[in-house]
Amino acid sequence: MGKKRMTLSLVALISSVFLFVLASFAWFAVSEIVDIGSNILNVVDLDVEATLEVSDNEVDYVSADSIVFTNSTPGSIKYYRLTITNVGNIDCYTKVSMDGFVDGPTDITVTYDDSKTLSDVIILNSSYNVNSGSEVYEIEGETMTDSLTGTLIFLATSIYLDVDDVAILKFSFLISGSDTDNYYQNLDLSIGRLLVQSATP
Amino acid sequence: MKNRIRIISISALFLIMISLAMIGITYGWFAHGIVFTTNHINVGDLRYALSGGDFIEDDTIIVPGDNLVDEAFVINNLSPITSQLRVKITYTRVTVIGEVITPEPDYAFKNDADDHLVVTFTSTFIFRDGEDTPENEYDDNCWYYNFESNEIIAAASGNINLFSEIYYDGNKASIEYNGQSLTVTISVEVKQADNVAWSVLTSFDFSTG
Repeated sequence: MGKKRMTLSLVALISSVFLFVLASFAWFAVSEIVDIGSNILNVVDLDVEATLEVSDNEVDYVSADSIVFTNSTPGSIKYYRLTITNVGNIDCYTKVSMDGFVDGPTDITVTYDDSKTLSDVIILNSSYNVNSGSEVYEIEGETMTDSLTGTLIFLATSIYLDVDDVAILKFSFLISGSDTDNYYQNLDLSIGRLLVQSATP
Repeated sequence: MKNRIRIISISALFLIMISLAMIGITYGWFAHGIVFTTNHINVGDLRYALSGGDFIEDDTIIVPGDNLVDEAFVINNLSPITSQLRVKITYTRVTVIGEVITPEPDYAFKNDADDHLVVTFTSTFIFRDGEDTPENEYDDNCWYYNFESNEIIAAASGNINLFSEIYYDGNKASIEYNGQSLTVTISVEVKQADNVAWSVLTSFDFSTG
């Protein structure tokens, strides 16, 4: 029993050493530290920058740190614009999502109907373009509830960005007028994260 | 023996983790993430409170010209959001139809020639009977607060004066009212600005019993 375990441990160690050697080779093979022939290759640098802006009229945008749409009334709308720039040295796919939705009251000192969720009456729109190209529509007039995929809402599922490409993702939140009644009062929807994720193709 | 196995296993695990990290970084396997946190979307609520106002005692015997309002009605808008307000006034109108005295309960006050009631509003209220704009949402015999200027009431705007006098007009209400039971009801309705249905905030009524 002891010998068998020792053998297995040694096999694991030898395999890991072998893997380490391979990883080291890969590292130096694509690193500019090592000059292979006449080609100097850079280490992959996946880097994306994103800036968020907000507007009340879809024309005049100001910088924002987060989504804040407070004390709204039915019919109110808020526009957001996310500028995503590939500043790395490799093409990438980028997706933008929201998650961590938590319902609660706006003012905890005032009663509210906890059977209601703003997700049912907030209408989402989302579209993007890359380098001012044609507009790609991701979400068109759906409630947040209908836009949910599991626990996530994808504002953009896959934006392909070449190096130095700039994508403009526009999305808006409309408090539905027609479907909303006075029962939707003193309700707050917290969105844990607006997440911009990029990965190499 | 056991110690050797443990040391070898830990070393192997360490090398595997280092190797995976190196390969991941080298080939950009790890997703690059930017996170915006503390996001909130919320709606406010309607908060109105009666600041003052009262009818005279129920069951009081009245005659035309008697003011039914003991204290002028005022409500206080504490809402953190914009809102709209309207008032509906209904009362018992008594007419003679074919020599038969006919009380009409819940007759809507429109302030026209057929009305037997007089109401003195203490703010600008505009009546909308729907005749001007058929099929309009304002086709409901209600009096709208500040309708012509801007019906939107600002958040936390404070006191809103409603009315100070309500009485039966002696020029129109005559002997047919003798011995009749009369009721005047004021219904105050509010809603969030635009697009939503009206909700009754409160109602006041006076009855002769």
